[in-house]
Amino acid sequence: MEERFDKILSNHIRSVFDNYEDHSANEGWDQLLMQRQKANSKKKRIIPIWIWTVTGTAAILALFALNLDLANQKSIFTSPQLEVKIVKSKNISKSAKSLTKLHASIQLPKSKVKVEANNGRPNALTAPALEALALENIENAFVEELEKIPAVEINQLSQHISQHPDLNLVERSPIRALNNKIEIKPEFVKEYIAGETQQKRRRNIDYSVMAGSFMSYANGTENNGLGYKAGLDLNIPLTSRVQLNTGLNLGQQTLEFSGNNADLPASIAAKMNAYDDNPGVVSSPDSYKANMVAIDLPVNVRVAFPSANYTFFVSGGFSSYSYVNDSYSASYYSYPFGTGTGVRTRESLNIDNSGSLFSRIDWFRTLNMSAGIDCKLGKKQLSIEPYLKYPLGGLGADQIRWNSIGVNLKFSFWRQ
Amino acid sequence: MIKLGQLTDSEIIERCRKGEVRYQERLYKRFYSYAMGVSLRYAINREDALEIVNDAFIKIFDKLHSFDSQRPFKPWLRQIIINQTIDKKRRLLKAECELPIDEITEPVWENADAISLLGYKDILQMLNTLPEIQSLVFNMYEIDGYAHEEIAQMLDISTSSSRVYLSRAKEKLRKLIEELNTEGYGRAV
Repeated sequence: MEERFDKILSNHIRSVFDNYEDHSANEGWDQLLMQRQKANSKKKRIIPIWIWTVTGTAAILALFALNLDLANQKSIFTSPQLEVKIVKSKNISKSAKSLTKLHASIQLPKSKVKVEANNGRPNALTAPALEALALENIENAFVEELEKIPAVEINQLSQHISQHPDLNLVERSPIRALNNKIEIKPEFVKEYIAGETQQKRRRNIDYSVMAGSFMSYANGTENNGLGYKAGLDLNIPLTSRVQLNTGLNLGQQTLEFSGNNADLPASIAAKMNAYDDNPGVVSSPDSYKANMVAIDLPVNVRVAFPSANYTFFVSGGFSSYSYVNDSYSASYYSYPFGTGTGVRTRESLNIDNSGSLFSRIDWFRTLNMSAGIDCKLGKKQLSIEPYLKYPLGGLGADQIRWNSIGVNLKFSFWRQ
Repeated sequence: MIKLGQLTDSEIIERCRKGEVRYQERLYKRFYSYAMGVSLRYAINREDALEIVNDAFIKIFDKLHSFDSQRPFKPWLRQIIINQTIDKKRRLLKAECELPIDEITEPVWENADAISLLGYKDILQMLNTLPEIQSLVFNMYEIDGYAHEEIAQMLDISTSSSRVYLSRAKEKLRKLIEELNTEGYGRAV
């Protein structure tokens, strides 16, 4: 037999596999459906549990700080022993009502008052027993407080406070405190005025210039370089501890994807597979590079925890983006079918999606999380802020979901 | 009720173009054995082969609008499976292709009768003993009929490298078959 051995082998292999029977088509199809489902679910915006956890923690911290802030303001004017709460109550005793006639500046709110003794008793005052206790407390407290505070002093304080119109605007001003029959002492007023001044000072908007570097990542990327950004940053106080952080910064970032289908984001793979739309041609991605110069418009809530020399802060919020440059370069292989050659050719294309600035704005596309410190440098301030950006949606024309991690440095020149 | 079994390939393909999952399933199952037959030769194992087949079918369902239904479906499917395999293995192949290549003289093969005894499992076992690149070139050249120039272009290697890989693959396969033959003879004695 003169036929070459290798030809016999290849003919045999071809014959074996051309007639190959596989009975696992059902399992294969189920797996394909699962693969598809997985690819589709990737496209949906799913916010992982840890994001909810971090956001929730940030919200709790913000509320906690806000509550602390309000409590601090309140404590100046409320008696250390008494806390007034308005609750539904129809059974105000006659004696309690009669107490209000003893001093003109003390008024008992109509049939809706309760006083809780702040001595470790439970706060649930709706129970009848506690309600009775509260009524007893209010009677005793009124008697005690009225004995301590001469009417003249209260009148003087009222006049003094009324000369400061700013104070009257404040919800918890001494005028209100007086009207709510709460103990007023001169030192409290001094503290109040000092506190207000300090608070007014705190409520100035804090401007700073910022610069930062960061590393971006998207699923399937490789050789990620450093990105840079710079811009303006401002903190608008909401309370003494809580600020609204916003601003505008310009950042540059580049991402490179390998051409492996499995690594490319599904949207890009699908797009690249469809680049060559000629009949009988299948295209397959080889490489993909996204270059973006974007304006970041952050809106964050910043909670500060001040200490003597520095302030620790945590911040959370969202960023929206507009694009100065939004361009992509891609190469792909084209497999022509039907010509019998089966030879692939490598094609490349550049896409520039940059329009005019603000022609495209992607609203709230990243979740921002950061923590850092503000260091005082004389009258100025330097902030060091490591941060993380998690994508809630795609950025730019190709809707790539960018993650970023980096550090911002902010320098405040205009601090008072 | 439509009896799916009576539909021709092009009729099923027409339905698939409209995105009807039921017909996609039918097309998949009709060509599953053939696809696995091609894929198994190139894959490391069965799971790998199935993944390649499924990726190829996903691509086919996406690109079916560009397929000329007057042409036979099987060659198109085979080509996409092979392309899918190359895409999947590109990184691995790059590393293997960097190995030094020594020219190998064409082997003289004997014992052709031993080949006819090989089942598909034996063949897969033998192919799996080959380095990835050699197995790929052997499959593409000997079984699927690509020319060395085409293989070189598709795998980003030189034509001479393609020839060398093929020679090496054949040499190893010949040795394996001879070993199998000797073992079989030994057992018989």
